[in-house]
Amino acid sequence: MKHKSLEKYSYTFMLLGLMAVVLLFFTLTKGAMLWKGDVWLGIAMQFPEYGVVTLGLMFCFICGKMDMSFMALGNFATIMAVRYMAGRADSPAGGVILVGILIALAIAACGGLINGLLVAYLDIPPVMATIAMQLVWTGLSVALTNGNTVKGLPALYTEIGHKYLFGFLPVPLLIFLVIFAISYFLLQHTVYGEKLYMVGTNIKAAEFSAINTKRMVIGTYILCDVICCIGCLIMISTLASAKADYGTSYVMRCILILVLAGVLPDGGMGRIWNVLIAIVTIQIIATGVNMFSNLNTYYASLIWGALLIVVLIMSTGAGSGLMKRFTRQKA
Amino acid sequence: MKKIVAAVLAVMMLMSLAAFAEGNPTIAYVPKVIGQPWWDHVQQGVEAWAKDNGIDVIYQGASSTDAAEQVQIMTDLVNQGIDILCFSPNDPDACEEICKQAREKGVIVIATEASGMTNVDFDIEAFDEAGLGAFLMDELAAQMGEEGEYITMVGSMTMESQNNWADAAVARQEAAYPNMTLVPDKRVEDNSDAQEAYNLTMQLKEKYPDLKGILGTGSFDAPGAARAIEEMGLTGEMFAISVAMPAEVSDYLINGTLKSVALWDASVTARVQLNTAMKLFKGEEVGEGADLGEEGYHAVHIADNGKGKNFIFGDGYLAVTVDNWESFGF
Repeated sequence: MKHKSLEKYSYTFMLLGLMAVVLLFFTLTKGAMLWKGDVWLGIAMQFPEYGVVTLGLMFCFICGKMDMSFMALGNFATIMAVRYMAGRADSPAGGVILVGILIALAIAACGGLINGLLVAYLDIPPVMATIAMQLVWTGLSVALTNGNTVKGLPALYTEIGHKYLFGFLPVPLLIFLVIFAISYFLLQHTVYGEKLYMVGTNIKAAEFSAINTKRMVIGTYILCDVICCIGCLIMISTLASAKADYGTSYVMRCILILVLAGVLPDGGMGRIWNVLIAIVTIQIIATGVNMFSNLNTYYASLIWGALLIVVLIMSTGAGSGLMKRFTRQKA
Repeated sequence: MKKIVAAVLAVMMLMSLAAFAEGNPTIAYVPKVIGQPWWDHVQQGVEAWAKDNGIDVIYQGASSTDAAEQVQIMTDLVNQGIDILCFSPNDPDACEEICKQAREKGVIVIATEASGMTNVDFDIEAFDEAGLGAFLMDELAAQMGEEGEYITMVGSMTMESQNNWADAAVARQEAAYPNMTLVPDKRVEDNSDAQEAYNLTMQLKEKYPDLKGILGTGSFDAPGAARAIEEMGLTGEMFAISVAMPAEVSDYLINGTLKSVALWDASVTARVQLNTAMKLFKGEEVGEGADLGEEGYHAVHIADNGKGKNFIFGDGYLAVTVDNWESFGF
């Protein structure tokens, strides 16, 4: 209790420290390649698509639930949106795009509702329920498209995805920042956020405190899947098409980022700033590893895994005890 | 402690300085995926090319066949400032935008297995898709005695080229083999997993007792199907074919479960991509009948892919049988 404010941020400082170590390593090894405008503009373009998805999943984790279906659902929703948009080249693009986006978000909301109902009312373990829904959405997408890509996005849509506002702010990054700000507000300054942490910490206790936990769980799944879908909407502008299996590698990546950020699926834990730091760190590692001609992408996974272990050790009681002893001896 | 830090720093600085030769272009090769035998073989081809030509090639690929992950890697490479980008897309459509950006930065972009792409200097194919599909069907039909039920199998319903070959094979059957029939399931996917191909074959034979042939296009289809055929004791009565690596199917070729599999050497195609890119880098023309320096590509065809004349194909497919499998060396 004595150093509460410091303790509150000690995890953040640790993550920042790790990010600094990662940056230092790549600066020393590939500094000339790393510190170029193009590379950082690239990074700012690259992480928003899965960064937004991670923010969505964060709500689920804080609530103590898991969602494995978000990418499959996002792909299905964007496939439907692109199919709608593709057939309407003659109508004004702005209106078509708006309706397309609303279609995708509505589908995602329905998907979230189904997840919520399965988990909250039928008491199916979240992992099982959402894996089943993942298969359902993927199956529907493949059945609908024969597994082909769905093309025909209005040119305006893909252009927006690659535009720089004021010449330096990529639109995907702007979207990420907006979602981040909304998420921050929801978690820190609303009754919903307060209740969410309570439900995640102890759902029984929350129920006894007259919180409608079923409604909380359902609402959180809807919020989670809608935000994830926004990430998918950014992704399809990068890829200029939608498909049943886009971004499937992001599922594990998002979970990794959250755990790294200390947002554990046990619920009730985690700070949104840590998630931001973790997202950027993960992207810097991916980009950095790609600068070595002799390191393949498995090394990125390896570094991600190693970081995770370090963070987990340092955040356990034993780890911090070890650290204290170490620092005392040094001092 | 200070000495250790200094030593580590020095080593890092050296690492960063190494491997920069003057005058050569910076080349990147992005395969569909890394860590699979097919792409390991391509990597060996690319590394051999780099050694032969004395030019470094950054070989960097995704650890899954997710198009989004592949595009992220291509974005990284383009932003680092490369001169040449050779790649094999998991999904051609998804790569158009990054390739467009690359070409705007003056990068030479050479694709393979990317039929229909617009934003590339050239797309190089070992063969045209209809040709390979028909070739697979001709081989299977000969084994089946040109009659009986068959089904098509692909690695994944989302892999465009594999599905196009399967379509071409079915078209060939409809045109040339009237006594063969495609069963109602038409096409199954094994997720590029031989175990799954084995399970599927078992299930399909149960569902369609008269099933006589499996026409696969992915490199895991025939090995998995052959294991099932052998275990069911149907060698000589039921047949399977697909594109496959010789070493993976040699047992079945030797014991007769498989009569042949189809193959082209993707490492040769990769070398041709690099040769073509170097020609363009040096300002040379690449036109109809050009010699791209590898067997099967000494006089290439240039065709219109519907979006421009940027489609090169060679004469690259061949049947691997019990007699010649050892000659491939992989």
